[in-house]
Amino acid sequence: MTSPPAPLSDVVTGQRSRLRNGLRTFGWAVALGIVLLLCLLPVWYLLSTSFMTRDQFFQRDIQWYPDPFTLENFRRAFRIVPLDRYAWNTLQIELLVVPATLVTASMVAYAFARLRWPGRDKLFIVLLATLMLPPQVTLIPLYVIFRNLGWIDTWIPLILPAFLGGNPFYIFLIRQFMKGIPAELSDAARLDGAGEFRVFWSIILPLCKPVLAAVAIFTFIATWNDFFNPLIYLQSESKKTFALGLSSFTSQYGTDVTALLAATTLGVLPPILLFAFALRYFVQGITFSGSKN
Amino acid sequence: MLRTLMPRTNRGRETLMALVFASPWFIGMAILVIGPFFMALYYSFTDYKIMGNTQWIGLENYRRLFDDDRFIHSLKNTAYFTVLSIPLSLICSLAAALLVNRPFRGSTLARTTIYLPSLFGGVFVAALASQVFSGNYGFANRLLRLIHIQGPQWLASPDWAKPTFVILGLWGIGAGMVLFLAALQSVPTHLLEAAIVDGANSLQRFWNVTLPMLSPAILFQTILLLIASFQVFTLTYVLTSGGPADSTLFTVYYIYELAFKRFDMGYASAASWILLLLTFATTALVLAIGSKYVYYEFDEESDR
Repeated sequence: MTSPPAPLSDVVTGQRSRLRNGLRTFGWAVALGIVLLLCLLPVWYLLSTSFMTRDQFFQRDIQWYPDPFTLENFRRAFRIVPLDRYAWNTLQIELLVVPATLVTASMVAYAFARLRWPGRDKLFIVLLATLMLPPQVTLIPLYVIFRNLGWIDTWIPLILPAFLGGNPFYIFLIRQFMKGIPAELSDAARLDGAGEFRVFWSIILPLCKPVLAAVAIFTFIATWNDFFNPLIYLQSESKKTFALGLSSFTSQYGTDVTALLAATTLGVLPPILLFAFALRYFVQGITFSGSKN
Repeated sequence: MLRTLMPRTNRGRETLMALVFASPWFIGMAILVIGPFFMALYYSFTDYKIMGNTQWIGLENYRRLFDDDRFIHSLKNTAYFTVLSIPLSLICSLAAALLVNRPFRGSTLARTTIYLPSLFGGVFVAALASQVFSGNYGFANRLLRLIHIQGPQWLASPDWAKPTFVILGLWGIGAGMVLFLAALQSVPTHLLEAAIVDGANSLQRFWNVTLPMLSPAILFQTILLLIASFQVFTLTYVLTSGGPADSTLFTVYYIYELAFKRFDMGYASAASWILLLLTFATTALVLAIGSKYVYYEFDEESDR
């Protein structure tokens, strides 16, 4: 890390002493260092203990890195609970939730962003208001409804909302993005005789790729990390998601701590990998769109 | 068939298409939001135990709630957590945003690092915290021992369990930081330059220019944090089950206990309606106070 450039005020007034400037940069570096350390230390602890032997973990002194390095915790984690089963279950749910959210959320966003109809703006405020609705208010009736339909201990309650627009926040995001696409594009297509679905699917959606990618990633991560809904609706071991399955670890008598931490490492990996991959993609998208203009 | 149903006018056609496109949301609103919303209100006036029949008992559930010490206690815990965690979260995420806002080599890496904990789902944070904050041999206390501080019992102590939850919340300031970073980038440089020309020092510039320009983002983030802090559940479920001595019994967890352990659905619905009203009242209060202090710039360029 190099030192940041001198603040604008120095350029303008040219009076600040170099000593004061140096102190200021030093203070900034120390503060940033502390923040980064606090963010990374628990992550390092998680990662390093996942590869530690139990003997080393229970040493009295603090252990900074695994010595010897072992994969035994991961092996035991898979033996204690069916982690592979949990992961596969979650992936199957994702496979339905992510595409369904993308399609239905962008359909709804299209109606709010690019079509004129009476009551649209008022209903959009209603949509924003539902963001503030605490989910536990609708929880009990929804549980009763799904129970009466015989859908408890199935994945339907976890998947169905994705087919009905998903999280309103994503509708909002896509709508904002669609608003920025010039009206001339869809008008021209309509003049050429394209139907509304055609305009939506072939003209508007392809232009929305950046926001759709963001929504897909957020949806994936939120579904992967969701604990409350699987807890309410799923019971059998064979149907549990990863996040829910991890909690059966801790509820066991005499938790195998290092195995639990190894399982946690595996659990945080998919969101982190996806995010790391997406970061590159986002940056690329910005660079490309910038160079085109 | 469909053709004959199509309205002739363009406007009517567009409306019809809009209804088709928005139909997933309409259906979702009806069966996932509005319907359940009023069903919960109805249940709250009944004795409903899932098995057996439903009996209308008027305001009995609400009367019971006011005498329910654990419910009142859960509201106090929720209020304590909200009042402590929101200001700390706002200050820390704003400070983090200010730290990484200037250009320096590795700034993307620094931002990503601060955002990293936000990618950890609640259950994973809880699993990690169960070892970091576990009594004497937890990671936190081992670290503190390095600098000769005897740490508290954290999650096992009735006095420290709630503050530990606040600390866990602060580990996820990355999301707030991203929001504030975006807001900071849109603070117009001409205002800051004008302040410099007028001889304002950096503290004055922050207080009189940057902070007012950030105020809409701060209000927005406050509302988000407020709603989230009324929802604390996973940490309690995984780490403490409400203990020790009910010190982490938050209202949503209590509602969960009532509904899914005791199957007292009517009573739980009444509790959830009280929590909803409190959420709305607090949000409205924050908005009312906030709108007095929030500064919205009239942007000439974008207001074409």
